[in-house]
Amino acid sequence: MTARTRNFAAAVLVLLVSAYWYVEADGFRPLSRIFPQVVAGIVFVSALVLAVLTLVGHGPVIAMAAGDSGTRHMRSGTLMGALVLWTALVPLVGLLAAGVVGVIVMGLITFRGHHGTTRAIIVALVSVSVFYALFRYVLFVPFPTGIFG
Amino acid sequence: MLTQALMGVLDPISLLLIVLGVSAGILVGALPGLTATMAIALLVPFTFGMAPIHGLVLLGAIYSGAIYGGSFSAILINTPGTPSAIATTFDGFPMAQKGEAYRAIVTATLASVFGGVVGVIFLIFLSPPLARASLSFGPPEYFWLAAFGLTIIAAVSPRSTLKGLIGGGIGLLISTIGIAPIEGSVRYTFGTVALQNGIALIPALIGFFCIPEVLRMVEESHESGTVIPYKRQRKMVTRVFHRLLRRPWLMIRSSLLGTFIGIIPGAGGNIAGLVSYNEAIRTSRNKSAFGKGSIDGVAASETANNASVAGALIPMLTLGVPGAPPAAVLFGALLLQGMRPGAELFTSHGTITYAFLFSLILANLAMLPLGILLGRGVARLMQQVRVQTMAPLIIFLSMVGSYSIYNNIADIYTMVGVGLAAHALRKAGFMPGPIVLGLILGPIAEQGLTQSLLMGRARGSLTAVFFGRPISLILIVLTIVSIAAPIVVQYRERHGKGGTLKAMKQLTQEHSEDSV
Repeated sequence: MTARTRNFAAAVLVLLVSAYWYVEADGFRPLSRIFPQVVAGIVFVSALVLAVLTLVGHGPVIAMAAGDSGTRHMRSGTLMGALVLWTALVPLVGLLAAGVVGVIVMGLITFRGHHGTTRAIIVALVSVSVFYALFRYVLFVPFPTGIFG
Repeated sequence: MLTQALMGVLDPISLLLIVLGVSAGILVGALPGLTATMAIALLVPFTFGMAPIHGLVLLGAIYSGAIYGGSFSAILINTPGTPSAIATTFDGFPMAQKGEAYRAIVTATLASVFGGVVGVIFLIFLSPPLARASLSFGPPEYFWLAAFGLTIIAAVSPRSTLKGLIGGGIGLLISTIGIAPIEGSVRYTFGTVALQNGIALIPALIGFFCIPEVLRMVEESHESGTVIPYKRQRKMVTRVFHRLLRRPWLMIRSSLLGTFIGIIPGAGGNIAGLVSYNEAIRTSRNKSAFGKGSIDGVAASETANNASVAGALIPMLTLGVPGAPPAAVLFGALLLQGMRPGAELFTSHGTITYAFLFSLILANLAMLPLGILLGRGVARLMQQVRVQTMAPLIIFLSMVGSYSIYNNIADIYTMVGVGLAAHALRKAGFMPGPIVLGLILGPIAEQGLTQSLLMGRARGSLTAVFFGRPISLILIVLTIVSIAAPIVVQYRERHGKGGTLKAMKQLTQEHSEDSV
């Protein structure tokens, strides 16, 4: 995706969100809606300016990282998916079990292609266990345990 | 109160936390990819269970240590560990290439200590009167203060003023989620009870500053550069100390620039370092030496960036407007401890606040022995540790930290949701700094606006309330200047008169992702 497309897509998204924020505020009491509507109005106009500037070729510069963007985005996308799954697992199996699964999956995504993947994952698992124990048994945080509770 | 504060900071636990915090900060700062903001955000939940003094002492020590730690990678691998050290690379790395790595590190250390201590002295003497002045702030003044804070952060946004402004607006919009402060309408909760209290600040800050960094370090997946080895040399500290003593104006000017630039919301250590470096060149008799390994270049940058740490805390402690992203996270930590920025911080919570300020002096002084002693170990770790290996652990700590504050699983969802959104926004050129400032200033701005409206209705004149008070007028002028300044700068750039500013902006864009 080019910088211009990103700018335009971002402007459109912000336009939609600010429009929603403005319209939704109509249902609030008068003093509760003033601030969100004022801010949504300013953001809407600013996003409109951004969209127009982008269309006429004067949009802001976006730093695009060099390198193989396809591979990078694939790794990042997979990682985001894994993060969402990890989060969804927390109420089901608890924070520790979800953490172990999450660290292994993320470790495989992150370290793939590097030397010492197994060692890195083991180090990560040990670190996770240490920090879990610290919070659970020293700071007495009652973590969710899910089906293991 | 001051004696109690001194006793509080001199107790063995506080001293131990200062040593641990500065050491950890140096390590975090030295590893490119890990930021001071991330370290502080991850540590806030740890400090929740501590006594407030100890928690703040630890966070302050990490902040100071991390900004100094950035100089190690700037000097040894030509990559600033934190954006604050951008200007340090210009002369630090050439010094290392000439075999003067240790001299550069000692210079950075002494300059950081000097800048940091001067900044804290200003913090100690400026904050109480400013906090007292904040007592004369009414709702209109707070509204204009928030407006000024947002326009100035938009103005100094590294990529685009317009995007900085939109980013701040997005933060303000997020801040309206939950029950309205006046009239109590339930806003933008999508029927979710968990959102009725609004977006939880600390999980949101962890999401903003940790998740995008982790995703970026995995995406970029770069190997650490080759670290230039160095050996400690006897009497180098004394030699560099005497050399810097012969440059009193350079040191004082850089400290003042760093402190006052740090005060400006959004203009963190990176801008302080670059401006100070530029001034060092401008006022030098030997301009050609800069960029080729000038000790003055390293000193100017490092003095200013560490002075900016204390500078960024001045508006945060007195007015609740953070000067930099790490200060925004410290703001969250203060709220978590039940301490609200303003005059009360220097009266009711005076002992804790002054202990925190005194601890910053000790943290800066501790950087001298710790930086010299740990330096070579840090350099070895820079060579051996791939920051990507820490990604899963950082995510786990982000989850544990978000959950443990209120023992609420919804805070994990908030943290992850905010983190993914912040990553997407960053890809589109919206940096987290303005968004976070908007999130923090939103409640101040909204209360200021709505209460001013009520005052105006009661008095029969909105104009008198919004525009008729002296402090409001000063803030309005500052707001207009902060909006107009980028336009003037762009005009000068187009007409070839803003070379330095343009170059600085480009440098900030190249090296900084708004992470400090």
